[in-house]
Amino acid sequence: MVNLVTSDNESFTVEKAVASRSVLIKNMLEDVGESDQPIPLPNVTASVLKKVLEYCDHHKNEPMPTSEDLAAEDTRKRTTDIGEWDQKFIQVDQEMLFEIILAANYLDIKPLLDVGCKTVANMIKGKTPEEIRKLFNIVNDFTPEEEAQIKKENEWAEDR
Amino acid sequence: MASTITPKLLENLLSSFRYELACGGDTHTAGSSASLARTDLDRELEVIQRTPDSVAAHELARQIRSRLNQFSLLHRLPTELISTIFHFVVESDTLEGWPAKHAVRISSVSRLWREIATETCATLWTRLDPLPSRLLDLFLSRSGTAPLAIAYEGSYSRNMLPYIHRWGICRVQLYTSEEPPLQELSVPAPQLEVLRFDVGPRESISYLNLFCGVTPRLREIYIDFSHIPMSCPIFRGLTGLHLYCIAYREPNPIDQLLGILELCPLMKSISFTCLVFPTLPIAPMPGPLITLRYLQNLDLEEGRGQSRQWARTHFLPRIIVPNSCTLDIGASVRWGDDLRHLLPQRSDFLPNLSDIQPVRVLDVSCWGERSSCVRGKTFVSDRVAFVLSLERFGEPDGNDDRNAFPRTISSIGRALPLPLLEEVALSQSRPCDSDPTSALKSFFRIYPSLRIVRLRGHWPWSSILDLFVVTPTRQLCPLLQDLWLAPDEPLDGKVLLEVVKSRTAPEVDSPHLCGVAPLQHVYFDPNHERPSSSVRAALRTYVTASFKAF
Repeated sequence: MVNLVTSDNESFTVEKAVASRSVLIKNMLEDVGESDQPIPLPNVTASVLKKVLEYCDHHKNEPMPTSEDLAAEDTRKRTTDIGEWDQKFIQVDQEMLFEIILAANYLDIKPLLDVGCKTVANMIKGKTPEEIRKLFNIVNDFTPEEEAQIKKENEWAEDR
Repeated sequence: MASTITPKLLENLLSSFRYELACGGDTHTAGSSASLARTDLDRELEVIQRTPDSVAAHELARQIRSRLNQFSLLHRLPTELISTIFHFVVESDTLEGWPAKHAVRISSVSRLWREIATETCATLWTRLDPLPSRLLDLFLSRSGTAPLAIAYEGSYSRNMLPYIHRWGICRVQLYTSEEPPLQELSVPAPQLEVLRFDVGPRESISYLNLFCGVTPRLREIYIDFSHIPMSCPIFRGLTGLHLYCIAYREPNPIDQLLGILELCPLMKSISFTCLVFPTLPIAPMPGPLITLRYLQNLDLEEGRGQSRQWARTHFLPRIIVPNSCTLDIGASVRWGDDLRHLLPQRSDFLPNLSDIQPVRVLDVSCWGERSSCVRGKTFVSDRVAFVLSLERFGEPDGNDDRNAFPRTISSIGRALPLPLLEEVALSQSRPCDSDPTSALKSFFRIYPSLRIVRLRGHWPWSSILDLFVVTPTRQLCPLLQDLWLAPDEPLDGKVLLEVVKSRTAPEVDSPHLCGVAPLQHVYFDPNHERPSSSVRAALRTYVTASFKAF
């Protein structure tokens, strides 16, 4: 078992197979060897780690992506398809969604990072710039000159 | 209010806001201080927007808006993750024109998004599916030196020719003489990786010196309807070759096809669909075996007519594929043929493939009298291990059943030993002309490991359900736990109840349930015939009986 301590000082004891879905933790465990020392995760809060561990537990028996897989991703066509379980898992509010993405990035859990990024991509797809702004609480901060140029570029992209 | 602000007061206000903006503070700080900063900015923006029109006020308002954008949750992500999201948006859309539209829309959201999209994501701007010519230069400059994805079709395509050295993915689709001639493509394409080619069955292509044969990076070729001679140098070093509806009239065409594969030792994916070889001899020609060590998908679909058996007789016996290769084989067969006639004569081709052995889910479907399909899946990522499709032609002999299903189902056990099979779905979309009960009985006997059985469509339901009644002399599917039913005819509730009772509550001194696992669930597809509520109530005395679509 592995003991993980979050930024808000909460402790989680999990199976090694679950914790090792994180390349960061896996490498730490390999570096320190057998040890009872808790692993501090200063960039992850308890509520987010709980969610991340739920994902890791569900996928603990799947093969880890190899460096070959990761290299092949650059040449493969990207899709935003998400598995059924993952889709339900990632149905969270925006705050939690971005926290999960950040945690997956920090903990180096590539498949979870992909699920998060694909979810955000699917939220963006098919929307106009104004709809995207509304969705993510962004305001138009272009100068009038930039605005004019963007208007020209967008005339063609406006059709749905 | 605005009229009460004097120019001097405005200038003071602007200076004070500029100072506050410059001091900044960490807007990423969570909690009350962040909310406070946001409220402050909102208030400042409101005041500035009420001031008389001036360039300085506009610029300050813009700066405040940029600061406000830092509160967007998405902007907490580092640039490289935002860039990854943008790539998912653009690259996952296959509809013509949409990848480019997504790139334009993304770059129009805010200054930060525009900066990331235009300065760090060159590949967002490489999809040049028909674009208005005024945007072409914009996309070419923003894409830097990245390989381009272009559609060579219509008069628009001429604009693409000067950049042929940058083509990475190219779809050539020409049908009329007004379009740019194919001869324009007789120049090297050093960056080309994927070629999709469909110009119809033109004779002239046979003489075309396509890309001068200089395509050192070409890995995937998709050709529909068009004949490009197999001796063309573009067919080398490939990882994917997909040919559809093409007639190869040259002598020894299979040897030439195998010759291409020999030049592509890293081949991963092959699909040959409805190819015609008019010069093919009837008997197989002897020749060396080609080993496709890295093949992951082999999809062969024979057409009808003259070269109906080309894959089974001439191609499959000449290749060796790895155990993990997914096979999708479709063929027209005689009425008397069964699944084994789909497999090459070499006995080690299919049954010994190690990835077929662990197949746990089998899906057998019949459409009408002539078509049937058998699909095997492993549980690992729901991976399909094989798909075998039979399409019967001609008319049956006097001895043959008019129904494809019994022959297919009874040959599965002999063609595909699947020792770990746990789940089977059997569906018939039309009423049976002949009774498949006896074939199903043999099938269930061969696969005693089944835990889940799904039946859908038109069956002689009473006799099929009766097979599941456990008796002292018959215990088919002894491990059955779940029975899924989607009948297209009303079910005989009495037989169903007998099945359930015999598998859950046998007579007190009956020894025949020994070794038979108790049935636990019966599911009914709500979109099909439903059993009466009294039958359901009776079933619930023994098992869970509920509606669930499948």
